[in-house]
Amino acid sequence: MNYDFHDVEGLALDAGTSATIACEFDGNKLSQPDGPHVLSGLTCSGSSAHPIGTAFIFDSFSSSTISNLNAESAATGYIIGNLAPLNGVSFNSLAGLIRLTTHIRLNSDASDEVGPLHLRILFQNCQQVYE
Amino acid sequence: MSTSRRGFHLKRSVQLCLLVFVLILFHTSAFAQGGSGVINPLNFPGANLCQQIKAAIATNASSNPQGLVIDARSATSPQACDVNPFGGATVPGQLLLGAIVLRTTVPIVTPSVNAWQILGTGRGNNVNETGTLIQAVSGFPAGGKVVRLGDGTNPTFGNRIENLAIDCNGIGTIGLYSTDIQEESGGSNLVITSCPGERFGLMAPEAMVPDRYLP
Repeated sequence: MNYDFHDVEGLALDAGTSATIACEFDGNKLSQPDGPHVLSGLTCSGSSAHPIGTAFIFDSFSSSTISNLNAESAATGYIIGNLAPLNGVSFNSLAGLIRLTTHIRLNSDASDEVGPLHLRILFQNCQQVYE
Repeated sequence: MSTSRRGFHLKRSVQLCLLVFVLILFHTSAFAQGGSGVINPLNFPGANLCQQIKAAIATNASSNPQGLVIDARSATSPQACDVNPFGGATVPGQLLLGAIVLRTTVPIVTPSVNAWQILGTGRGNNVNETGTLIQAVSGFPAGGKVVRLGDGTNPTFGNRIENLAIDCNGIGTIGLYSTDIQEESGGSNLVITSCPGERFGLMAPEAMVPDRYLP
């Protein structure tokens, strides 16, 4: 499986709630992670009056490059491996610009003590800017 | 130069001209039979643009088995949509949309087997109605996906959407959705707004099982 998304804005605006997940990208959860996928230049967010639950979720990816993302107005900016592991994925420049409680979370469990086992994940140039 | 030699050259020249003529004929004939048909859907019957697009695809599919280009860029805004324009499409193709608001009461679903590209003219805006905007309106099913790439029946290749906006309008739950997209599929230059659920839900074909998606 291979797909690509470039230069996409997902803006929940007033429709977002605390349960809303702005952008979710999943692979094959039943057997093994799949890819390659290329995602770049994506902004996914709620709004200041209606912050959402999660801006981005990535599940079950392999051999993929994910770069130049922006998460805003969400309780969690990025959940890496909500239900299934990632294998060989490079994350470059994950920004959290506005109103994120948590910038990046590995696995959905709040304690990070349970969840899928990831292999070879690289993070570079990730930053959260508080406003 | 002798007369016989001059005659030989004349004969070769005539033969060469004939050969070029035959080649041009063959070339033209090949394109007429094998090229993609460029179709203006406004020339086809239908109460709205989506019905016209669907009619254009159905009418021209058999004569253009390699694929169609449906050029709807001359349609004026706004346009209503009450049928999936790709419903029953048996050929792949490309749908060109102009600067219009396409107000839909049904999900727009591209086929998995015969992939389509939906191409707009730019970032749509529901305030001043510039660019290309696909908007869910009253009557759209609650919890529906406004645009779905692939119909969930097969892996799909080359199914894309580019250069437009999708507005859930607080009605459609998911703006852009797929379980099927594979090589050459995806999207670019998109804005997706006002969706109460996830805007993207991308799963491998093997994973067509109830997931954690919001109702």
